[in-house]
Amino acid sequence: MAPEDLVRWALLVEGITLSVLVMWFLGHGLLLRRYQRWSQPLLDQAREALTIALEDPARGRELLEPFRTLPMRMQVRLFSELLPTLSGEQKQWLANLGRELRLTARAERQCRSRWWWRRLRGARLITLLGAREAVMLPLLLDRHPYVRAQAAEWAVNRPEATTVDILLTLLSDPDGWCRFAVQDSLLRMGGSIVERLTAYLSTHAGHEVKAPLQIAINIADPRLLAPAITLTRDQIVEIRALAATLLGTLGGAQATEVLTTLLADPDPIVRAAATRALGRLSHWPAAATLATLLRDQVWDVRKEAGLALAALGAPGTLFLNRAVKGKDPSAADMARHVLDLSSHD
Amino acid sequence: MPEQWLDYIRQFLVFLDETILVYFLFVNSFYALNLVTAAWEMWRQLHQIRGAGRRTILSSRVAPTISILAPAHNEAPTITESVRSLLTLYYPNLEVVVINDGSKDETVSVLIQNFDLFPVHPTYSQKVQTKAVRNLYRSRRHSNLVVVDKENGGKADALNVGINFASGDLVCAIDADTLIEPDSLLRIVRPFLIGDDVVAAGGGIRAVNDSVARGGRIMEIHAPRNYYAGIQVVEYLRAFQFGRLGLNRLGGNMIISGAFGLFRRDAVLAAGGYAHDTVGEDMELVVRLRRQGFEADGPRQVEFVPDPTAWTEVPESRQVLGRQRDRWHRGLVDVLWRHRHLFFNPRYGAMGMVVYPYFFFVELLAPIMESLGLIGLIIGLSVGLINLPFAILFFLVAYGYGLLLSTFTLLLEELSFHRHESMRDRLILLGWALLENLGYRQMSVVWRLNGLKKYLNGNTQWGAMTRKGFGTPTTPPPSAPTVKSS
Repeated sequence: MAPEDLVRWALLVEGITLSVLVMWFLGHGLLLRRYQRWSQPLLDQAREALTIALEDPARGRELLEPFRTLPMRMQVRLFSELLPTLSGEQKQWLANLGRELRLTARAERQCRSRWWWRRLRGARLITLLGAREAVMLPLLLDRHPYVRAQAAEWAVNRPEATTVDILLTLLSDPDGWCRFAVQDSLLRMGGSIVERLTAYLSTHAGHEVKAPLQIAINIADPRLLAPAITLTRDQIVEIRALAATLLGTLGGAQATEVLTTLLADPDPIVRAAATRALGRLSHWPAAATLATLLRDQVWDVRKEAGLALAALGAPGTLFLNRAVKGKDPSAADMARHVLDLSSHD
Repeated sequence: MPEQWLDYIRQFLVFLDETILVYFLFVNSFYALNLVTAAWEMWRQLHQIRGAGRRTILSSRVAPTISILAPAHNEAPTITESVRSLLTLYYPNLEVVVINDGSKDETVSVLIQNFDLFPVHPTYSQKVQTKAVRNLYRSRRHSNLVVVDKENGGKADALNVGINFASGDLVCAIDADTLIEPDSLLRIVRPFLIGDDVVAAGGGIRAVNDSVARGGRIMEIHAPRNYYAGIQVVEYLRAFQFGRLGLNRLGGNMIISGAFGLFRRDAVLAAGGYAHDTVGEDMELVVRLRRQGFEADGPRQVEFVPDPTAWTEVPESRQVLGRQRDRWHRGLVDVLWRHRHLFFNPRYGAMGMVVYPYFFFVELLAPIMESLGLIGLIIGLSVGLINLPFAILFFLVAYGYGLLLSTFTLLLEELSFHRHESMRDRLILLGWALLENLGYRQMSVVWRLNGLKKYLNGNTQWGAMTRKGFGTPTTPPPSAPTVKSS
């Protein structure tokens, strides 16, 4: 083929492709606008009917007739809008309506799809509407991380031992998003997971306990004291620091005793965590030791020591004022900084 | 001229034409591959985004803390509104660090007055070397607001000071005159939650010109009517939105816009912060972070996230736009030269084998090749080596291909976010796509060549960037044009 012919063919192909793209672009715009004009009043009407029905179910039943004829996509949209904002009987009523409209059945079918995005869509809908555990439990071990993460979100209201144990193992999931969702779900489960969490922390060590420790810090249940003390002796610096933080949320004589020993830890991250924890507990007998940490070589430790002293109240302020007048310029600097901050609290 | 010389010229022109043809095919194939990859990546991300509850992050107690770094230089008229909009961003653990980079106007006093600031003895860990800090302020009203007043040292220095003072796990670098959508942080943080090896993430940048902004928020989105701004909207969509999205799958990005990027603070500190001696400090930091990751076997992934959006005012005049593009190109050359050993270096994986060569061949050499092509075309036509009908046909193919890519970008935008809602705006954008390759592209070649020339002459000036501004001015009334940070 001659170069001119080749270029002519290229031009023809370009022209056809361009026409298709332009028509698609403008056509989509037009269709979208038309769809929005058609769907908006229907959505508004259905939203209003649902709101009335939620307050007065008897009257709402009649009003909901047009809602039943809406395309499933729009029904799902309204459910997604409303359900997360509801609780108790109203939520249950709306979830039952979803079942009646066969949305739950559809979502369950989607959960069994071979395509991950369909399973994800189904799992999202079931998280809103609720469904049989048999459908969702297997999704906690799904091969796609987004689906596992969604299943973890669903598990929030199911603090049974089996579910919690699966979630605790998922804290070591290779996918970060899944780990985050699991961590968040466990935190939302709150006190009901303490027993399993304590057992897990007592039987595991090293990197495996990092995420569970972060959960423990936020739950702060006294039953976590024993594993926390054990983990302050872990080889990994980060784990020792997290264990110190956990002790700072638990308090008590045993915790403060361990924390005081951790002030001499060779790693500054652990010293800083222990200092912060003692400040949080307002453990004034440690004031003199904390004051010596104002002269620590590491800035972060000095800062935590300053803040901890300020948190102790009068005894701490006394040490801070002494440090301002002291010979060590970095301790004086830090003390002045903290006193400035605390004077405006 | 002897016949032998004419023969040499002909042979050279044939060689030049063939080289440019091969280059043309290579570059455009890469563009096409990039956009197709972007479409795939967009499809994947949309499945994750749509229906996913950002409430999970918003109400999470384990979401990483973010420190926003907002450098400000002579921003008194708009600083209050900018800081207020930053403080009201949706994110659970947020700190806002405003760095006054030696402003000569009332920036600091406006902040003191409007945010009830009080001075604090400025003690900090100077992990990155910077110019001296004059004062440190905290707010009685907003416990998460920190204001640092420092000597003027440029944007990179101001950001380094911010990094020294920040306490977040992640730092978000923005321009003080950028409007960030309220839920953007909840979106841009996603890559850090997904992957442990992510060191930085960039969000989408869009042009705010002709759109309506009130109270630090975008209220209505319109396609600009101004020639330069309008074409930049299409250009930003193609190059910054979908171009960077495609690179996610082709070896990762090497650029995160200075207007809106999120970084791991520990990695930035380990890398020594932003470089002071370059006009391409945003790109330089990203390349250094990735390089450091490869060399120390640490986190090195840089992701582009399409849905968080920062709105920025793009230049509406040829002079200002020319200065901006010349600076961008100087920055690009400088960064590529500093990190030249990445070039086809397998040690740096896809970054060395795909992304760096892409930036070298496609971004850096494009203006040279385009101008050579133009010169070759003129000489070829004048010595009768190229016949005119063929040249016209070839020009139409080249123009059509550029138009095809821009239209495909508009289609991707339409199918994904469709921010421009009216049909009129859609038609205007299509019009700008049609005009982009006629005039604007050629001007862009000149600006970039100018940047290359200035770089070779050792020019490291930023160049003044005048803007109209889109915020509601507060006290004191504006007395001077807003100048882009440092």
